[in-house]
Amino acid sequence: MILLSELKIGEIGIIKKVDSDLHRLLEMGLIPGSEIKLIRKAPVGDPFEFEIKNYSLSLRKEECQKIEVEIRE
Amino acid sequence: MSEQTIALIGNPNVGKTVVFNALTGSKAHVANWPGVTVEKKTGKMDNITVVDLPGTYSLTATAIDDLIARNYILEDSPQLVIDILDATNLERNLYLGLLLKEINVSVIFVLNMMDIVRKKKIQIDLKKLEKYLKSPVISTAAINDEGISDLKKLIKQELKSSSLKDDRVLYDEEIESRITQIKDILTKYDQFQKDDNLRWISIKILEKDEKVFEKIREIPDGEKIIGDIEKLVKKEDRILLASARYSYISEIIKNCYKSPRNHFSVSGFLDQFFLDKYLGIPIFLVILWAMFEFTFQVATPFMSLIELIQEKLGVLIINLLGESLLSSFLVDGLINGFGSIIIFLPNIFLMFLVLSFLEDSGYLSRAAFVMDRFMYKLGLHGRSFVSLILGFGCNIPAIMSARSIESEKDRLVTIMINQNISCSARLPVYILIAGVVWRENAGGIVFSLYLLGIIVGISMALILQKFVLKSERSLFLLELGDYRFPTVKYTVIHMWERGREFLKKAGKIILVTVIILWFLQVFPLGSSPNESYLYTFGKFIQPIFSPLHFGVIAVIGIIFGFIAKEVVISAFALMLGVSESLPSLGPTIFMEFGSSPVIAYSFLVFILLYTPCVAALGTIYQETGSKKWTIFSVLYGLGLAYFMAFLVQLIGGVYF
Repeated sequence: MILLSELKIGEIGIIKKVDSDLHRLLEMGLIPGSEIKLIRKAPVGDPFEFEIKNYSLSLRKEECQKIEVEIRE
Repeated sequence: MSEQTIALIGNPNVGKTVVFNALTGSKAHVANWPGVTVEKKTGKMDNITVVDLPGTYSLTATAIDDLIARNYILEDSPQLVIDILDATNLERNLYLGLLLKEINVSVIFVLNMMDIVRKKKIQIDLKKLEKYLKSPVISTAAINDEGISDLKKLIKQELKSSSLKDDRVLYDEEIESRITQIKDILTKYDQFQKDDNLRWISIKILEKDEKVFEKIREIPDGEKIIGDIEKLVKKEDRILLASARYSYISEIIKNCYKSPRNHFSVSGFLDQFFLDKYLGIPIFLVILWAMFEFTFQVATPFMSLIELIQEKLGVLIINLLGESLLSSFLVDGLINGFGSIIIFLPNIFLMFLVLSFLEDSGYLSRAAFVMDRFMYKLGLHGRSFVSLILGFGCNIPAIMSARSIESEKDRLVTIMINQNISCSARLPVYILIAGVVWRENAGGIVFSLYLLGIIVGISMALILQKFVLKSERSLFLLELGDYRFPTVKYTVIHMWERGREFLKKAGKIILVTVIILWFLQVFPLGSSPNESYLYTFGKFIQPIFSPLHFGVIAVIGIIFGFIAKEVVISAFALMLGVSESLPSLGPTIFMEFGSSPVIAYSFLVFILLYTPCVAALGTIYQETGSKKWTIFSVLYGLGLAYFMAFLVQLIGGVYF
């Protein structure tokens, strides 16, 4: 298991653990079991752009470090 | 019959504003929600009031937009809620829909953007969707007015049928049983017996919603109730509920929604350039520069035209009425007063033309993505950057543009530090005085002032967040939606609404102030410039500035600059009784600073930092809806200007 912030560009992770304090992220679809793909990082390396639930969401590294994923082979 | 009210809700960027305009004919009344700087729009569809709620993804207690939306639905009880969904992105959009179904309110679901749905060859089974959602579902492409008349019909029909329906959407048994248990506990208490939103309250308790807990604590048996209830709440309930909703949505999607695998996406293609590691920032800067140039270059001839009309009108009136008190009032008071408001309109209109184009096209959220890291360091949002840069042109449209920032705290800080960004009106003052004092080195001096403004702005941002607005850092959640080509109609509507607001609200304050200043300058009647109330007033407050060694005329210049910073120059001209030309004014001006370059520089620092012009203040008041913040803006501007000017003189050795 790795942190969401450690995902590499193009990789798809399956969310394993989200802190329940991140309520708004949960409601945006970042729930355990969801697939999340890292599309790109901003030019200065932060924030990140992900694809989740068929839409494109951008999050800061800070938040990504609170989410654990497993890389989908 | 009491007045009927319906509310529009939906995720950001689903075309909610377009639906609102289509329903109400775009004659919207724009104000702020009480106590916050979030825009509240209301309009009329025949005799039905339509309220546009802020765009939200969910209804949590932590985000201000969410709170506004849910409080409105719960407390103001609109008869009907219209949930607008982006039909191309149903999965996430339906989440808010399910949250609404937890509240005891009738809902209509509007699948908008059907034009794009057809283009993408997505198939949606509306009939089945209706069964799953247990509420009417209708499809529209509001941008082409498609489906709007059917929607209107449906709204009226739903408003008539007031019968209570069993239209709950249920989650899995384990959760439902705990919801029922909490409901049972609550119904034992009088306060809850009549509450028709017990299901909602119970769900929110499972989600540990702070606002709901606060409410319960307020009632007499509150602590006991909470004690009883807390045993039923599990640590991971927020996750369980979100998962339950999304799994219900998955089931809906599986049965009602067919989307062909996307082979090529235009947005994805464009983002390869716009968000590229190397090209992203240069492209952003070029767009910003173009926006800046377009706004201020195109505005200049219009501004000259306004000035010309103003001047001709003045001449005309003086020719008609002769030099009299009345003509002076008309020309120097009224016409100049209106002039100082209207002069900003070209800037405001053009800036919002570009800005709404960028916003509607989807680029503005990309700009925020590209620049967020830099603003993050200041505790701000990527979107603040655009607003601050616009401030170099004119603080007024810049302050207004802060509206696109979702977090209220970020918006306030962005508005508050904008005045430190040196707007173009301050430049003529720098050029005049720096030209007189430093001659060929004036460029460097002017540059240093711009730099100082930026440094002060950054420091203020950090200070404000550390001591004044101590809220938590706002969560950065940014959806990068598909690029769209904005329609002329909505770009123009957007622009017009902003410009009209400025005229209506900020305009009043500006006009009154200008007339007061005219009065002070003209009275007592027949006095020479050195005998007017204004001069007397200048002389009266000059001692306040004597530690800074500013002369009376410089002080009057500061008072005049309150109207508009470039007017500082006119004050010198008026008071010194010479025509407004550089060479003749030069040495006399320098005398106002005791012929000391350090004092002259400190004066420029003062001009840079003190209270924004009255038009900007009017805008701050309009945008924050808060007297407190407007006064704060005046006071911190003055305090900072005084302190920094003093510091310059201290370092420059004036006191030794």
